[in-house]
Amino acid sequence: MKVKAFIQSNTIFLLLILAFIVSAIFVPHFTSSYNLKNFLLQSTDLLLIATGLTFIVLNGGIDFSVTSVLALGSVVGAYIMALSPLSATPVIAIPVAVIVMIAIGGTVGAVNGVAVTILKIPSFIATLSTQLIFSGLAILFTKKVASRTSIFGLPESFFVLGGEGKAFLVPIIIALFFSALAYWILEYTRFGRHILSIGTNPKASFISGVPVKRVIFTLCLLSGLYAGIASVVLTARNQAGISSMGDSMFISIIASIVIGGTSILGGSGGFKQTLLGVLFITLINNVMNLMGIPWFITMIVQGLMILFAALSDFIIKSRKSFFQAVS
Amino acid sequence: MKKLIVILTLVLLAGMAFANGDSDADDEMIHIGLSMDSLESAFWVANYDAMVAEAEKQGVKMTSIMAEGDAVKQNQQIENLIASGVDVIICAPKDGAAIATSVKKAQDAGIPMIMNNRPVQGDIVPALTVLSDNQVMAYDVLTWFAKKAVSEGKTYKTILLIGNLADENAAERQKGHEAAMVEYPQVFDVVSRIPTEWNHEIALKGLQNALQANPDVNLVITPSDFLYPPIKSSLESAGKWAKIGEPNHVAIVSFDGDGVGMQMLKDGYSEADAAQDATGTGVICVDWAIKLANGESPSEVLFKDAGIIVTVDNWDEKASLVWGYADVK
Repeated sequence: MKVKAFIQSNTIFLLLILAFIVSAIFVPHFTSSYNLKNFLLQSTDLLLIATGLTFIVLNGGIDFSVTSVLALGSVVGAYIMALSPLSATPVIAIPVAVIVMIAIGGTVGAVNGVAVTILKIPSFIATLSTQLIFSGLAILFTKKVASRTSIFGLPESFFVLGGEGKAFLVPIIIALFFSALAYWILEYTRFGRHILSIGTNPKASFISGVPVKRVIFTLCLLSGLYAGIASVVLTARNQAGISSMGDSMFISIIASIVIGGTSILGGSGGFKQTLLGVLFITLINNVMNLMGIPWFITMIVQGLMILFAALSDFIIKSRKSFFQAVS
Repeated sequence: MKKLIVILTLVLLAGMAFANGDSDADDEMIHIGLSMDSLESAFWVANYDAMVAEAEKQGVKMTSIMAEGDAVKQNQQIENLIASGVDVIICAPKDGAAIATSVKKAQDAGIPMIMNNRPVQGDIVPALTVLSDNQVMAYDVLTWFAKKAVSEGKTYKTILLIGNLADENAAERQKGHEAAMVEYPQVFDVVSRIPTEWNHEIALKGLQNALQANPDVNLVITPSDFLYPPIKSSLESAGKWAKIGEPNHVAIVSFDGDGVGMQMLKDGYSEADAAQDATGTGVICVDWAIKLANGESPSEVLFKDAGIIVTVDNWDEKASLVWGYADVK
């Protein structure tokens, strides 16, 4: 029984290990140092942004605007480093750009927080709106300053944050640090307990004295800040400010969270699960590319995995509520 | 339900084990990695199909990946192609600036890269860039139209559609169109320039607004046959979708030479189309990929295809040479 319980509670972890072993044996070039480095680097930005979004999902909400933070942060940061008067002195331009990129994430998060907590707009609508607004601003800004949709010519020293050359551990350390920080917040602070409690039952939480509005506002802020940090890493990795950055990334972000095992209905899951989900999704994409599997098959597989993961979550929750009602 | 995820994953893993598969024969083959932005228009579909067919014909292995219009995803996919040990990469980039990092990584790994129909921005020079001569073709097709207008003593209230600012081809076509219009100011009176982002919705709204504000428009210049649906729809709404010679006809000068563009020319809705060679450039990319894999180097790193200017006047002579002609009914 103990083995069964272990398998049930660590399904994704075991599947990940199994997938890794099978890939190592059967997929050509999978274990090359170049590919393993790629695999880890490709996980970093997804881990950062999915971790930020996990805060919101645990709480029963959603934040579509994270991809617009990637885009807006990327082009504004790139402008500061490549086109603004500060660009002549990279020593100043790089830290200023990094701070501004993260601050953009915080600002978008704060706007979402106000919309959800004060204006009482559902997070689905509020963040969908801000996603459109800030994505549009990213394109507008780039057109104004560069007459294009991307900005290049960034200082080479900035690329260290994206893992260029021998510095490939830098973004991995950044991503793991912020993932661990999120884990600590959730597991070891009162704020973390409040997140799960609101995700499970917001009304009961409010009655029992949980500062619901303040917690939700802080979660929006955290989601935005994590997206801002992801924007720094992703811009450094792509060596350009790209106004369409993150356009098709949301599906991978949600897939990582859901496949990891965090409930999209809130109240259960965590950052360990998101880390596993990120590694799993990145592994699947990496392996499918290495094997030359047509892109439409990759899309179908990803879609099926999200569908089954979400379906399992719904069914487990429905069963629980049914048995609770019966008892 | 967790069982379902497990089953799906196990099926996938089993598939990996069975499909793994570089056989010894595959190992000896030249392996080309093909990275496409998307298959959003008939041009790219024909270009992609031509490359796949040519690779098959020449007996080389081709792995194709699709970025679905995402520059970041394209860079990640190319990293995976490099890791998979391809000999050459052919790339139709989403964004000429953002792709520069991939070109550099491929070069560092000793893998030559061929840019297919979109150039890379910045200082990095790929092994070969195969392009249509967009600016010259756009200039030529509009100059032909202008000369005809001068000879007939006609003037045109003009709407100029523009592609995507991130797409160097779109910028080049706009330059060509603008140059011809500057040369013939007596013919063209540009009442609206509409950036479309290669998006039908944006193009349609822009056209509807422009036609509302300027009901006497009698020429639309488009940088791609891809934009025919919104052009047709907006002109129909304005009661101006008519053939050459009919009242209310609005002249259309287009670019690409796909099946729709050729059909419009044949049916008398359009006056001219600058036809790119979608299949020919695809074949050239694959040919050169094989040569590069065999250690050859091109004498020039930029190949520009002159294209074919097809007009209502030379239809019988030129149309059949265009790749989109096969779809004409």
